[in-house]
Amino acid sequence: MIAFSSLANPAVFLRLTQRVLPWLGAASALLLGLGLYLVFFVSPADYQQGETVKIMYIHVPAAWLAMFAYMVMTSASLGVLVWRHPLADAAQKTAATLGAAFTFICLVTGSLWGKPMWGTYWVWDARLTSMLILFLLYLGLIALRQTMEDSPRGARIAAIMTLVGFVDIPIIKFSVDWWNTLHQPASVLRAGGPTIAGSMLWPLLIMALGATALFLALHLMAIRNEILRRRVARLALQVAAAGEEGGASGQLLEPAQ
Amino acid sequence: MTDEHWGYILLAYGLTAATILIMAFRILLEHRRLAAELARLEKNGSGERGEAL
Repeated sequence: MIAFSSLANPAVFLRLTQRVLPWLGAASALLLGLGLYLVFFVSPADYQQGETVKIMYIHVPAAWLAMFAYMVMTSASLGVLVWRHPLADAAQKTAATLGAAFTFICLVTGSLWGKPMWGTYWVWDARLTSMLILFLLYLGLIALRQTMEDSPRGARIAAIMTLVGFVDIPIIKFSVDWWNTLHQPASVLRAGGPTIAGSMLWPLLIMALGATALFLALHLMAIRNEILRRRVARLALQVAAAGEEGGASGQLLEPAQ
Repeated sequence: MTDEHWGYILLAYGLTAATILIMAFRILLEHRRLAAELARLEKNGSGERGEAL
């Protein structure tokens, strides 16, 4: 059995993910394919929302993944601060772009559902506003990483900023309970069980599983890229240093004019 | 349910697909570029593939 700590070795990680990625990609494609079939050909229209409820099958998984990505970043940040492991730093850095993308999908699909249902694309509701803050947090963290070099100090600053931003996650989750909002309360992840009919719940859960597999596949691929990028940067420095040494020794060997 | 609502549904699914595809292609192209760059540097005899990040 492979020790958990050995998975943090970049070479082991690259080998393992090379084997896991095709399965994860296939699982994602199968689940999303099945989910889309159920959404468009099996699941019924909602008695109030009509066919517009179909937007919920991408909006809800995107919202879950937007928060899940931030929780991944928070866990990785703890890995950076406690163990100072570079792989945790790579995981933290690469999850930000994916989190931003899923938050963007959540906000856009929510707006496109809101226009026919609420009569407006946007309201400054607690749930919508806290989700927008999450999107801005992601953008801020991406910008922060782009302004800093790949230094341990930069990684620690990004990790601390991520931990500070985590306060927004429970606010998003409980905003519909704490404030009077236009956004409906939780109907799947709630005490007392889901309030959605099975004919709509199963397609939603299958879409959510497929989207999660897709997120994991893209995240693993992005971490692999980050490992390669750092190797390329290190090797390029070695080449430059070797070139300078060669050039200097070459000058010394040249005969004086 | 009106045709106008189908417009919102198709737009939502279209934008989602576009966002995910752009993200996936970006990651794949970046991987190809980095793999080629790494191979070039290793061919230049800059050292063995390191274990460290």
